Amino acid sequence: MSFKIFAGAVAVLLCSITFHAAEAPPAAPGVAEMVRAYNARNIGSPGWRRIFLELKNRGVVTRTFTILHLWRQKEGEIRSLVLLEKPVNLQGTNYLLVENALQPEKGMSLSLFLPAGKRRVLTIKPSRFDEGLLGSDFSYSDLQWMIPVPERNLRLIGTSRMLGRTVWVIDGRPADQESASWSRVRYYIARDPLILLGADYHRAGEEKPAKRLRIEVIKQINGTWTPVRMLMSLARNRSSTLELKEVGFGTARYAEDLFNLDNLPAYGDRLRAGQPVVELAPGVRP
Amino acid sequence: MIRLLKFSVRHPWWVLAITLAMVAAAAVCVPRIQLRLDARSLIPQGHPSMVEGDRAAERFEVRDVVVIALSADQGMYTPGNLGLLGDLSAELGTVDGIVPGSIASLATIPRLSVVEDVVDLQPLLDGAEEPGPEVARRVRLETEALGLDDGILASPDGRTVAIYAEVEPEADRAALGERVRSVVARYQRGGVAVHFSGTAMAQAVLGESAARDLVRLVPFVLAVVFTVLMLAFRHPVPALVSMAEVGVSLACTAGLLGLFGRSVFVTTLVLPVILIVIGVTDDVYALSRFFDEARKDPGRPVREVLVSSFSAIARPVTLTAATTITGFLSLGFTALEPQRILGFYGAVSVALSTLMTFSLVPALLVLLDPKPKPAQGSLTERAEGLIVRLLDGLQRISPRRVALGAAATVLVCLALTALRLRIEDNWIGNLPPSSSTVQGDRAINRLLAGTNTLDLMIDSGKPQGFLEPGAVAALGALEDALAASPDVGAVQGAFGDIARVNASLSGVDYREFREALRRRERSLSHAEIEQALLLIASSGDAPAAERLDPEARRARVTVFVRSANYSRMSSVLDLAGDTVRRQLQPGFSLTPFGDGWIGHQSIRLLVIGQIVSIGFAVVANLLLLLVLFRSLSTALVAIAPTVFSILFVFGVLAALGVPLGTASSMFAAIALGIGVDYSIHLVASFRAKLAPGRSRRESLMAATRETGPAILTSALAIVAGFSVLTMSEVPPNRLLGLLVCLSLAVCAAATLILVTTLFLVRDPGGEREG
Repeated sequence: MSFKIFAGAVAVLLCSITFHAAEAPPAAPGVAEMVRAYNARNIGSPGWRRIFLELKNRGVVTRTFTILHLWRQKEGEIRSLVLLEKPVNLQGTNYLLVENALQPEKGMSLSLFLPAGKRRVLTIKPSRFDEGLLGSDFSYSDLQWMIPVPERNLRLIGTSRMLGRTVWVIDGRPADQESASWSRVRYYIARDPLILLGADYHRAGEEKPAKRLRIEVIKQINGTWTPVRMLMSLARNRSSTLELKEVGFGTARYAEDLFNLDNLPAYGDRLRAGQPVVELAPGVRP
Repeated sequence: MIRLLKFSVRHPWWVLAITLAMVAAAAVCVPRIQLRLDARSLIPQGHPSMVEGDRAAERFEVRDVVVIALSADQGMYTPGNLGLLGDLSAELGTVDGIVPGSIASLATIPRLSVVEDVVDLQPLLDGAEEPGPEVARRVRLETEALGLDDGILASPDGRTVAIYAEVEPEADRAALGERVRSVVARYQRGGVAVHFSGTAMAQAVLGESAARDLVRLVPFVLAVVFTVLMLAFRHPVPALVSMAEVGVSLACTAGLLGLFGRSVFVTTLVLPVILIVIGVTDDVYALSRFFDEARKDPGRPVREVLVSSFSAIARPVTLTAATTITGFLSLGFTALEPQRILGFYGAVSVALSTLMTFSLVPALLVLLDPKPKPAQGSLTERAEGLIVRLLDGLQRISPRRVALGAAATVLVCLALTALRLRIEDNWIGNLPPSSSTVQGDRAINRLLAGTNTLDLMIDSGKPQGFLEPGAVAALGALEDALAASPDVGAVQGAFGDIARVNASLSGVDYREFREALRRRERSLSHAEIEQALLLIASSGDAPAAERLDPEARRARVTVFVRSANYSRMSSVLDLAGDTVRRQLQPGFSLTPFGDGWIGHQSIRLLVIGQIVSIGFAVVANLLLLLVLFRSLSTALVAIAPTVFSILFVFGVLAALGVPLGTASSMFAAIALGIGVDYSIHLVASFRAKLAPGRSRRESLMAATRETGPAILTSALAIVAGFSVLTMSEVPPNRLLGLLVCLSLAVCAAATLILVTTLFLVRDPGGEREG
C-alpha cells in the first residue's frame, strides 16, 4: 500500500472529528488496538458539516474557501462528497471520496468534477493524494476518516500533553519508503476523549517536520467531540486553517444515489444555480 | 609629518613596538572579513534602484541556482538517459545546500495529464518507475504536447535536457560546487555530456579563483616589487623596508575592514596587490632622496640624513598621497559596493602607508643604517641617461609639434570613446574561460534557452487581479512579445501554465491551444483560469506554483536571455516596458528583478558612477594642485598627463572593441590617484629650481633630469607590480592590471614629454627669472 495514502492519513480533520467520549479505550492499550479503536469510532454517519478554509502566506490571508462536506458509512464503505460553495468562480467543483471502512490500509478512491471547460468527472491518481487540497496545506489524504497505516508499521513512542490533555504519541512509517511523500508521520491521539490532536509530517532525512497539524479548539456537540479549528503549518511562514462553521451528526437522510459518481456534474450545476444539493431534514439546508 | 619623522628617528624602537602592536590588533579583526560572491552584493541594500526589485525577489523567493544540462547525440528520450535524468534529479535534491523540493527537470515538475479521464499531476518521470522504451516514448510525446521542449527543461531537438536546483542562501558556494560536481561524476556515463552553469556554480568558481589569486599573486607582486627596488637601489634594505611598510599598512587596513564587519568582493580581493604597488611609490621618492644624500656625504650620521632627505620630500609626498587618496575616494561616488569598499579602504591604506613612510621607514633605516652603493650601473643611473636623451629629442623636435600631436591624440581618443566605448559585464565573463562552468555556460546557451534570466513582476494593483480573463490575456501578450525577441531563448510565466493546464483538460496540443488563444479564436473564462490555478496550486511546492503570488495579484515572468549582456538586457527591458504600456490596463505596473536586473543595474550605476567619480577626481586633483602651485595654468599643465593617459586608454579600448567592466573600470581612479604624482614631483622640483639669473628653460631641464629617474623607477615598479594582475585567473582583474599598467606607463611618459613640452611652449624664449 502506498504510504502516500497513509501519509495524510492523519485523518486529521474532517475525519477525526467525531466520536463519543464514552468510546475511549482502556488506559494503555497496544498501538494496534489504539489505531483500530480510532478507525472504528462512530463518525456520526450520515452527517454533514460546513467548513471555512483559509490560506495564509506570511501572515496574510491569500484565499478563502467555503466547503460543504457530506458523508455516509454503509456496507463497509465511507463515501464523502465535498462540494465547493465559494469562491463563486470555483462554485460547483466537487470531489467524491470512497474509503474502505473494513480495510483502511487499502486507501481511497477520489474523483473530481471541474465545472468549466469539458465538464468531465476525472479520477485522481492515488499517487497524487498528498498534493494540496485546493492549493492549501491540507492534502486529499487528509480528507480520509481513518488512519490507513499497516499495524506493523506503527509504534507507540510515549505520551505527551496537548490542549491540556494526555496524548499518545504514535510513529507511523510507510511500507514503501521509495514512493512515500513522508518518511514518517507522528500522530498525537488524545486518550480521553479519543481524538487526534496533532500530527507531524517528516520528509526522509529531515528531523524537523515539513508539515505540522495542530488542533487548536475541540468541542463537544451533542455528546460528540469534534475539532473546531485546525491549523496546518509549513515552513516559510505558510499555513492553512480549517474552521468548523456548522455540523450535523447522524441527522441527515440522504437519497440512495446521493454519493453516486455520475451525479457530480448535476451537483455542480445545482450549486452554480444557487440550489441546494440535498435536503437534509425539514428546515435544515446545508 | 616632520614632527612624526623626527620622533621616529629619535625613538625607532618605540615606533617598531607601536607598529607591532597595531599589527597584532589588526590580526585579531581580520577573520571577521567576509567574502561576498553573489551579484546582489554589488549594489547596497536599500539602494533606490533596487528596492522594488528586492521586494519582488523576496516575494517570489528568488535564489541562486545550479543549472546542469545533459546532452546526448542520440537524444535524451531513451530509457537509459531518462533514467540518468531521474536519478540525478533525485540525488541533487539531497545535496546539502540545495533547497529540498526545488529541483526542476522533466523528472520532477508536475504536469497535468488526462488520460481516459484519469487526472495525474505527477512529473513525467515517476521516481519509482524504471523508464523503459514505452515510458521514453511517452515522455517524448508528452514533453512535446505540453510544449515543455521550449529550451528551458528540454531542447526542441530532444538532445539536451536541463536540471535546475535552487541553492540555500547561506550555503558555502565552493563546498556546494564540489558536492554537485561529485554527484554528477558518480552518474556520468559515456555518450552523455554534462554541462554546469548557474549563478551558484559561477560563484563557486569565482570564489575558488579569487582565493587562488590572492595566495599566488601577493607573493609574486612582492617579489616583483622587491626585484625592481633591488635593481633601483642595488641594496636590499630599501626593498625590505618598503615591503615592511606596505605589509603593515595592509595588515592595518585588513584589520579595519574586519573591525567594521565589511565584506570583500572578488574585485576587492586584488586590493592587496594594488596597495602593495601603490604603497611602494612614496617610498621610492623618499628612499631615492635619502640614498642620494647619503651618497653625497657618506660620513654624515644616518639620523641627520634621514631628517634632511625626508623633510625635503615631505610636501610633495603628502600632496601625492592626497591625490592618490582623492583618486580612491572618488570611487565612493559609485553606487557599487565593491568600488566603494575599494575606494574607502584604499584611501585609508594609502593614508596609513604615507604615515608609515614618515615613521616606520625612517625608524627601520635608523636601526639598519644601510650604506648606499655607488649609483653607477644602477637602474637610476640608466634612467638618468634615458631622460637626457629624451630632453635632447624634445629640443630637436619642435615642442609645438609635440603639443599638437598630443592634442590630436586626445581628440581622436575622445571621438573613439564617445562613439565606440562600450560598458559591459556579465557574471560568466568574470570567470576563468577554461573553467568547466564557463564552458558549460556556453554549451547551455547554445543548446538550450540560455542561463541568464531576467525576472519581471507584473502587479495588477488589486488582490486576485490575475484571475480576470483580460489581465491573463494581457499577460499572455507580454509573454508572446518577449518570446518573439531574437535575444530571448524562452519565456516562463503564469499564462503559459494556465494555458498548459487548460490544453491538457481539453485534450489538445499546448502549442495549438496557445496559438488559438493568441489569435483570439478562443479565450479563457474566469472559471477556467481559477480551475487551472487550483490544479497548479494542488501540486504543492512545484516551481510552476510560484509564478503567481498567493493573492493572484502579482505575476512573475521569467525571461531566458541568450548569452546575456547589457545591450540584450536593455532591449528585453525596453520591449517589456512597451508591451506592458500597450497591453495592460492602467494600474498595472512592471518591476524587473532577479540576476538579469541586478547585472543591468550594476552596469547602469557603473556608468553614472564612472562619470561622477572621474569628474570628482579631476576637479579635486586640480584644486589640490592649485593649492600647491597657486597657479591655474601650472595646475592644468600638471594634471594634463593623467587626463591624457586615461583618455588614451579609453580610446585604445574603444578602438579594439574591448568593453569596460565593473572591475576594469577602477583603473581610472587608480590612474588619476597615482598618475598625477609624477607631475607633482616634476613641477615641484621645477619651481624649486627657479632662481634669479636662471632661465625657466634651464630650470625645467634641471628638474626633469632630477625627478625623471625617480618617475621612471616609480613607474617601472608600479607597472611591474600591476602587471602581476595580468596573471590573475579572473579575467576582469587581468584587464584591470593591463589597463593600470598601460595608463601609468603612458602617464609617466606623458609627464616627462607633455609637461616639459607645455612649459616650453608656454615659455619658448627661455625668459630668465628676475
